[in-house]
Amino acid sequence: MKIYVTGLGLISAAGENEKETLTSFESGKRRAGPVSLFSTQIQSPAYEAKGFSRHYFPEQLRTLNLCLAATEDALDDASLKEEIRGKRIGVAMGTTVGSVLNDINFNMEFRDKGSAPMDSVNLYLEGNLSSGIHSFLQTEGPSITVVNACVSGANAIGVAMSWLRSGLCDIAIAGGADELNKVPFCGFGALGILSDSLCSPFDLNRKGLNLGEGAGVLLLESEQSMERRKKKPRAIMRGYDFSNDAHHLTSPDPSGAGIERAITGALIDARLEPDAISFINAHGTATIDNDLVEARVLHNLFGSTIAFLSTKGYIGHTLGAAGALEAGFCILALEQGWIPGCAGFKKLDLNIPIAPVTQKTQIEGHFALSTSMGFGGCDAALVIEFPE
Amino acid sequence: MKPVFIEGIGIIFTRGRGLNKFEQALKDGWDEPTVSADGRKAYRVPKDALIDYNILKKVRRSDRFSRLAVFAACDAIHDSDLDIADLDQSSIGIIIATAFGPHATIFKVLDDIIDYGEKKVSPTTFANSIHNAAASYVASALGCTGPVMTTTQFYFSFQQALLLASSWLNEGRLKKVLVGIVDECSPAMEYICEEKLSVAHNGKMSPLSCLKRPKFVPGEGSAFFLVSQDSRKKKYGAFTEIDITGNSHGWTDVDLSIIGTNAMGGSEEVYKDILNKGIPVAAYSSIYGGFMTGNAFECAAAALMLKNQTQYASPNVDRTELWNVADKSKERELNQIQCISHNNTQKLVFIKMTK
Repeated sequence: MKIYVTGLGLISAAGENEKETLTSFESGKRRAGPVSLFSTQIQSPAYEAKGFSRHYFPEQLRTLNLCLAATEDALDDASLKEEIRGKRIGVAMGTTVGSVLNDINFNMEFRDKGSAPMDSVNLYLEGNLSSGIHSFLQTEGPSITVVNACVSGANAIGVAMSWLRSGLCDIAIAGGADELNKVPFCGFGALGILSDSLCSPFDLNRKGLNLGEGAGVLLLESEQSMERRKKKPRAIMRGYDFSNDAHHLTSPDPSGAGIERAITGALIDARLEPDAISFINAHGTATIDNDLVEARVLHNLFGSTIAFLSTKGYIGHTLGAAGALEAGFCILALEQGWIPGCAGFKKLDLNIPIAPVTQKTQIEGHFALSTSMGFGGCDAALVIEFPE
Repeated sequence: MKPVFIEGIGIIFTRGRGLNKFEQALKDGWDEPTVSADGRKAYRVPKDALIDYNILKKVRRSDRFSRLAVFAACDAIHDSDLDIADLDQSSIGIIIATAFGPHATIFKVLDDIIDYGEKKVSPTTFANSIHNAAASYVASALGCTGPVMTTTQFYFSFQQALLLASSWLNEGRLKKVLVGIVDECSPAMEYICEEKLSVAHNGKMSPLSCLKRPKFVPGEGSAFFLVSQDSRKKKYGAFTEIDITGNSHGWTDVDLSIIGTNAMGGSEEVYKDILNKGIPVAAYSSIYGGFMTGNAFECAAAALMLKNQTQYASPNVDRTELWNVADKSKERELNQIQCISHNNTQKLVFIKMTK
């Protein structure tokens, strides 16, 4: 069963809409800088969605606001905004920060005094992404928030594909969102994988990742729904699979078996051979381990001439939003016929057998692959088709 | 929906670990909750239930939250007599639903930030504080390399996870799915419950009371179901319908309705209009405590009753005049049971289980 993308909403440091994003990609501009959203002693550039100011919920629910803004953009794009109430529309959203009760002031007050105001708890209970969007839009259909670390966004799209294939809904709003937040910022620092300079995916001198924030939302539809609405698709979600390393909580399996299984499974799901893939939007966090494992697997499966890049150099690592934003970027690239250079990459690591594209590169063909890897040993792959 | 057959169940709760203990608890009925150092009552999992060195050696750095999940998940596999080594390890999927995630560990990360500064957070604690850490430990302990997912949806976390498991099986993506819940009751959670809910200071929850703020005792635990679409492997009946539309009045062809009276969704008044008086009603949350994902425990109770063809008495019901309460444990023919939960907007979600 074919699943169509009829709407897209993308918000990240690269831009608050598709046009701004493409401008950033084309110019190679990297909008990272010191953290401004909270005070911190950790020196690592961050990719903030600087101009973002759309508030549907209290300002503190930044992740939910980012998510709903991207959802509204996707609904607008799909010409669906006015006609969704009561429809069989599923909502699948991925996040990390949006699922966590991590208010430092609440914790400090509770442990010091044995009591604390409930304000942050109340906000947290309001902040579940898919519940929030489901209630706001008054849709009827399945609703789930995926909290699978950095793979959450890709997984949420996969969940929506499963629902549509199972007939649980006719349309699905799927994606991911995460705000830049102090607690994971400290946590990634503790793991020693934050770079103190701009990240350089797949580069010999890569030192780690930069965190970012944003939201990516895709409007997915069954063929019947799309035809009923006389809507043309922007893309087809052709294949999806995911797997687990069963290896380590925070490090990828050095053999790459997990991500290889996910990619192979997605290609089988898409009924495609590897040589059908025009380009790959790799996970490419710029950590030593991720990039080494991922690039070796890409080389094994696709050979040394495959065009690939990581877009983390433009948006940072947006955690639960990453897989969805990057699926969206694949759609833009298929439509435009080019992919941007892999920002931050300068010098080939001899341990990595292939190099990403370094400048704006024309692409031919109709199929893109987007990969995601995350803590917990999670791996996911999406195959996206540009319709004829 | 195609039937989703239950091949095995694993459970850990306030009275210990194992389905036998859960079955005994259903027979015994209500018991006093545990009392924490600061005097708060809760149905906490005892420390000795989390000691099993054969399992712990596989998940040495895990926190308590993850261990709850690992123990219940391993027990579900054990209960099914499945030898994972005989299978393609990527053919089993895992879905863990949680309402609040490993919040006690998250608070430890916050403690590190407060006490030692931003740069001195323990990497192990941070890694364990991520929502999908428990699922990762389960996958490692079992050697499962198939899809592993953690989801959260507060009130309906389990129902949505079960629906997803059903979708995966329908698609043919997987042969079996281990689907379950885990939630933990930390001192902070006890405090939050005390602030936001009406705590039962005598330790007795008041299921089916229809009070505006039902009396509540927080609980915790983990329950897992190994499910497939292979009827030959059925051990406890099947999940046959899941209705998440919020428009439904449930089914009238069931022999028992089990209500998820966890008190977090407020009054059970909403059930009065929809429950057929002819169908007995039960609520068991006063055995294991109230928590948003506790409806997996209700499904475990239903599965046991369908298997044993025995109805267990619904404990602690005062207002028997409002309902046709299943107030006695007895052998009876049970073909179908529905498990119903509600949220804070009084939306109802239904799961039907069949013998």
